Amino acid sequence: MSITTENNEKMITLMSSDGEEFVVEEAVAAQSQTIKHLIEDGCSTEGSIPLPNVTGRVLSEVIQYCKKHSSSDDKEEKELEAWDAEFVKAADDHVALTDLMMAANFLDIKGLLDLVAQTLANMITGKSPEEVRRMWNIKNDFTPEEAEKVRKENQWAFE
Amino acid sequence: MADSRNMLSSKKQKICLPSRSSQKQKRDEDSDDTAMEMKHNKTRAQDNTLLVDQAKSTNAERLVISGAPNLGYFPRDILEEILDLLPKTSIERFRSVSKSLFSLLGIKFNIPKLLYYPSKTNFLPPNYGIKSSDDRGLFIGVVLSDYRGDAKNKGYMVPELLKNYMAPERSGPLRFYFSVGSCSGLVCMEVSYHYRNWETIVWNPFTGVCRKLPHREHYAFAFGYGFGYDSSSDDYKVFAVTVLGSPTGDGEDEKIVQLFSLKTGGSWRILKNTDRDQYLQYIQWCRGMGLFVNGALHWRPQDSPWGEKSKITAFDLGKEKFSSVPSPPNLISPGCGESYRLGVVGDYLCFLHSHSYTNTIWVMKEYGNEASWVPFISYTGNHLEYVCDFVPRSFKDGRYMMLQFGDESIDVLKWNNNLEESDEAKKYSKKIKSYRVTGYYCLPYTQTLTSPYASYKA
Repeated sequence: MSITTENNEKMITLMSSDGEEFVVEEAVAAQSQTIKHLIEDGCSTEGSIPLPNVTGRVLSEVIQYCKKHSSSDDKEEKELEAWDAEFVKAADDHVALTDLMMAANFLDIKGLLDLVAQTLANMITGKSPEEVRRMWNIKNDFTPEEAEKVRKENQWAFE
Repeated sequence: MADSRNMLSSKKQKICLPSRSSQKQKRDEDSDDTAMEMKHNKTRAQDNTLLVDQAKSTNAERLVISGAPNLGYFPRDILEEILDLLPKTSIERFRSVSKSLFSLLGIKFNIPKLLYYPSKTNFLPPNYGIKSSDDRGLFIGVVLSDYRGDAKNKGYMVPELLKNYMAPERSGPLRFYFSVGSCSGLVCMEVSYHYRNWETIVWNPFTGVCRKLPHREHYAFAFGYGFGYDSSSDDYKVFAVTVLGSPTGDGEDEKIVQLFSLKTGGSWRILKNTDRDQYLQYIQWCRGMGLFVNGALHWRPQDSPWGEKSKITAFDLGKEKFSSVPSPPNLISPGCGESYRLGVVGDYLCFLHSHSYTNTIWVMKEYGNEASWVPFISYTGNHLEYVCDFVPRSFKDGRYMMLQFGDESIDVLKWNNNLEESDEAKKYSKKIKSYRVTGYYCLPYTQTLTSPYASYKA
């Protein structure tokens, strides 16, 4: 379903995995290479574009990011950086960031992917293996002997 | 609609990194074949959720990544995005989180204490030197002494890094090493404690995985060598050419070309090829490492001791054939204090002509076409040893170029990435940094997770 606004901006509808619909300017949505290709392939004319693995909550954040960055050409770079910093801060924790990262990867939005990857990397930096395990729900499957061996080999990293 | 999605999927696949069987690695603790297969399919389904057609995706919720995330859900390329940004210590800690991450980061030979930058200089930004985001960068980290050199006072990085791996039973430092080449984040080197018993290793300094290659069957010191990637077989190849002196000490020396493929493994192959003596002669005159550009190794022209002219010699790693590449036309032969060197800028082969403290960098815009050589930049200074361009992460915007003068200094300058630019002043800005690197050669380097065993089947 493509409609146009009075500014002649072409609008498209995106549908999240939980059925929420978002009407956005095509230029905003096209920051996602994935959506851009879908539009080029004519998918947007058949109705809303379904995004089967992005929830409405995550999608609204992504759209927020795209809106800011689609009109940012003439903006101060510093202002945009500050906005980005606030944006990832608002995402609150690594769970939300992980969702955002998966969405950015699926939607192929390079800027957002880099931003979130850097934020997650900053979170991991300095964390102990145990903290990383807790953070991401990873089972420690080393036997005590193996763990000791690995620890010995990597001793320097823990000093 | 389904068609367009499939097209989309192929687009998506193309930009993914080469498969390094990460899924398989993640499950290597799982010995049950059937379970493994099932799990495999499931993982694939997760990776490919973007391909799920709308009709099938009514149950998509269960594939949605939400709640407590598990790194196992992360596609390999996402994980790499993050790992790429971590400092070295965090990578090492990451390794000990779980077996799957441990195997993901490779562990064939673990080299602890990976301090691969000169700690005595303030040369490097805190995180691995100058990094690049487009598979190109400065390998300022492991700067390597030239092969003549005794690395005693200079090479405090590489020996330290490799001694634990090399020969633990020996206590002395690793004294000699030289670079064979660098490609896709892998560095190939020859290392030794003495001038005897050279070993060839392929090493990923970022993950610390190091692979020792078997000895060459006809061992002699290589006068020409190189390392590069062959896209036709998706394989990395090490090239070495040696002279076997004739047993009687007279008559023709026999030159032998040997190749090692990382994927194939096994032992070194002897390249059987006729009509190549002239090329090997050219390589012997200039000696050293072949520059990897455009799928081939390249050696600069070097006049013979008796004044005979040579050409740029190329060895195509895919076809495994030698050829000549034309030099820029009408060059003045290098005399005393002058030189010819090769470099690479934006995937183009460059020819560096140094003459009376003026260096001209020529770029071959169409590979193999003599008429396409254009003078690109002139630069004043000592003779130019090497040039490459890179897009660093640590600087904002644009491309930069590294110029190494002699074995003494490196200039970094910003350039506008436009070979057509005719206005000299607009081509590049003044140098932004200058470094003294006495005694070292630098290699272009990419930080990747590529394993020296990547596609190696035991």
